[in-house]
Amino acid sequence: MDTKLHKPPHIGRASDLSGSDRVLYRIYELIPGTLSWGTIIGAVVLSRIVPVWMAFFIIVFDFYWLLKTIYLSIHLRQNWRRMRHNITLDWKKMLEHMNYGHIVHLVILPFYKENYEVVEKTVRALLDASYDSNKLAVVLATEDRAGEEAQTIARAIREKYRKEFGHFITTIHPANVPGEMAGKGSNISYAAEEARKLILDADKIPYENVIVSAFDIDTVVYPQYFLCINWHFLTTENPYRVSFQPVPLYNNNIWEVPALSRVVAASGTFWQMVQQERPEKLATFSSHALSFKTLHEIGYWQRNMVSEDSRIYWNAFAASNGDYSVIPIAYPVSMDANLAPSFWQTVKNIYKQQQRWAWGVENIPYILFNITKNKAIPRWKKFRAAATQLEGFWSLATNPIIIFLLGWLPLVLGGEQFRSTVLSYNLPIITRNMMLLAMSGLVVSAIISMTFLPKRPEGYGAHRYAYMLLQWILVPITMTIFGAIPGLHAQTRLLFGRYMGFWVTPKHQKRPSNRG
Amino acid sequence: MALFTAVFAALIPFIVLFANGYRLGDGLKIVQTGGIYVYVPESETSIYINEVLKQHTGNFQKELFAQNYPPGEYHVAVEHPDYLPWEKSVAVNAQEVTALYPFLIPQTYVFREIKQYEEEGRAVTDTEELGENKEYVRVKTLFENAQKEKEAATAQTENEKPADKNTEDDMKEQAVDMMERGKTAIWIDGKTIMAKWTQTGDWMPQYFCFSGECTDMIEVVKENADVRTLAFYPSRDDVVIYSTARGVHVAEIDKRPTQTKQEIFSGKDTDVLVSNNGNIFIRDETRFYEIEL
Repeated sequence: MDTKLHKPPHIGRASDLSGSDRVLYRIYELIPGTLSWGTIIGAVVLSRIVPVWMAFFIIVFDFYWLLKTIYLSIHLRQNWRRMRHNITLDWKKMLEHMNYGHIVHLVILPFYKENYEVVEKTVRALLDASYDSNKLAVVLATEDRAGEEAQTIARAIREKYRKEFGHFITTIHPANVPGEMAGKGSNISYAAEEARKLILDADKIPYENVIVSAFDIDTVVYPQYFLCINWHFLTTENPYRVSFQPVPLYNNNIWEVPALSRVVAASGTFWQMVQQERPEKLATFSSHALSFKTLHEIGYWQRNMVSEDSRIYWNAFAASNGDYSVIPIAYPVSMDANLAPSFWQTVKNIYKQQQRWAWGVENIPYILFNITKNKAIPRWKKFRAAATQLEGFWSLATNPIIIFLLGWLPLVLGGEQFRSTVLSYNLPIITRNMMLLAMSGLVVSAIISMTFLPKRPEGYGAHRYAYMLLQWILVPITMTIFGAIPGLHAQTRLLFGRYMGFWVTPKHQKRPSNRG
Repeated sequence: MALFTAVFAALIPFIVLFANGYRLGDGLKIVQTGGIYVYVPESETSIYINEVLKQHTGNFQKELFAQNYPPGEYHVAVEHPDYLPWEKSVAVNAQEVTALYPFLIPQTYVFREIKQYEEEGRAVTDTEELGENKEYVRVKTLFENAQKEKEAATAQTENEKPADKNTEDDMKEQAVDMMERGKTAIWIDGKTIMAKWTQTGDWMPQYFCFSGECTDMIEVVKENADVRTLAFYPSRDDVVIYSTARGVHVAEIDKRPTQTKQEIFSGKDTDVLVSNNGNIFIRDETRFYEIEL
């Protein structure tokens, strides 16, 4: 059996294609925004013309949402237990009967203009990991356009740490390369290719022995990360047909950021934890790992689009004719929550980051295009991929709006005849009660989030724990303002062909951060 | 997942039916029910349905929504120590809510004469020293203007629309011929006050319906003497305030028993006027009063 993957199409947008393919791809780009706006506009129109049916829909939808919340909450608790187990598990012992001395971990750290402390903290954590650092190859991937100060930092880090690792190189991604979009994808792809030449080929390290971890510059590994990855790599049936997904905890600066930022960050973590319990629906996100062999065969991450972290999964899915999956390792990595010098700047940055993550909707036309063109992908996998992604982005953009904003529409627009019905009086009562029940799950979220908190730094009073609990009342706000609205915003941009560029989340620190 | 799907599929029909007023009746038969809604702005009010206390309103709970009532007639009573009792016999229809907004009349109310000459803290003895009270002049002018408009209006052959409520005059009379508020129009027809539901379509408030039949025009009040002035009660489109020569009255448009109707001022030659600000002024001969219920 030929296990070598062919390089899949690296399409960034419709204009990368021509002819009927371009038209088809553009049609697929219209779908997510049309579905979401159609839902919202439809809700308004139907509330006016058939308020009774709209009221039924809202009740049915809210009940669906309540059950979904319970269902996801069960998954959240399951993954929480799994994570807590995995964090304390002795992975070295798990590996004691396995041979992993041949495995090299290639860690790519894309770096833009972050300060020295941020970079050093991440590199330091690699050294502090319970793993032979001689088996770690670190690539500090800098950008030429970041300027001389970034290069100075990179050089300083390299000088201080290069002897601590098996390999340590810095790369400088050239600016303005034709066909590339400036951003993480193009940078780490360049870095991976440089690493291939300068490390793997130079030392004749077989690609199949190399596991690549694509991190952010603020990604701090937990001590047994590499051992955990090794175990999953060695026990998976085909390690060249999977990616490995850790759980992002935004713990690096959790005590310093405002409550809004904490809630948004923790919500992101919880979503990833839930997805880890549904691996058939999981795509890669943010920090992830995969075999270098696979990465090289599929042409590295796409350089012409924003969401390279999830797109790499879909590239591999297409290249393998659907025979690709994600292994959730239920083991954390720690990252920064959003923090800026002022509260309002933090709020703006949160919105922009959420919008960039919601821009993962650009994968939908790619998925639909590939499942249309690739006849070798099994039909049920095509259906599941399309349905899961479409439903996911539609839910993100519309569900909070339906629940928190549109539930009142039949009462407002439905007319006096509807307003005199028992249904109209029961509508707000039933939906309120369902939402209260659904929100009671926030208690579980609050408790779980407390268990992942790092040690409280000196100078932070114990009353902060109370804030950590009370912050969860912000969820209806964050779900809408930092969930649905950026989601809708991103889909609208795709709908009108106003493609997003890559936005680097600024890393700001008030004081030295904690992990663990 | 399959379990949740099954739970969803199994329960949703019951939830939807419940929301729509269906209940399990005797012998586990599914019956259609209706509801009663009562809103009272005053707190510490007791609301009874068929002599059973259903709600005692508070600062944050000023309404009652009671459901599960089979179609039929129900007696609703509202009591507050500072107000006259209010009661109504209403029909409840299947899958409908009978909404009630009781008009409560206080046991005592503020009654102020607008003096023609007034100086604070000093009895009026020498009127030549003082200028006329500006408020008196304003109110008097209002009534005079209203009278002129009424005379002009009665000279016309068709009903006029009421004066534009959006004018920027500080105080303005409500026209005494047909006037509209919301979807309700009222006018004087000799000794009778009439009300009409002006919205087209099948739906109208239940107080335009009697014994299951609805009509878009009803007789609100029939007095023993000609009705002279008429207005909507401030902030209500279901209560009128009007005057005959001998007094000023308030009355609900809702004629379902018991219709709330009360004389609030007794005089000799009275007119009433409601300003755009919701102030109620009464003229009795040459005297003017402001009343606050």
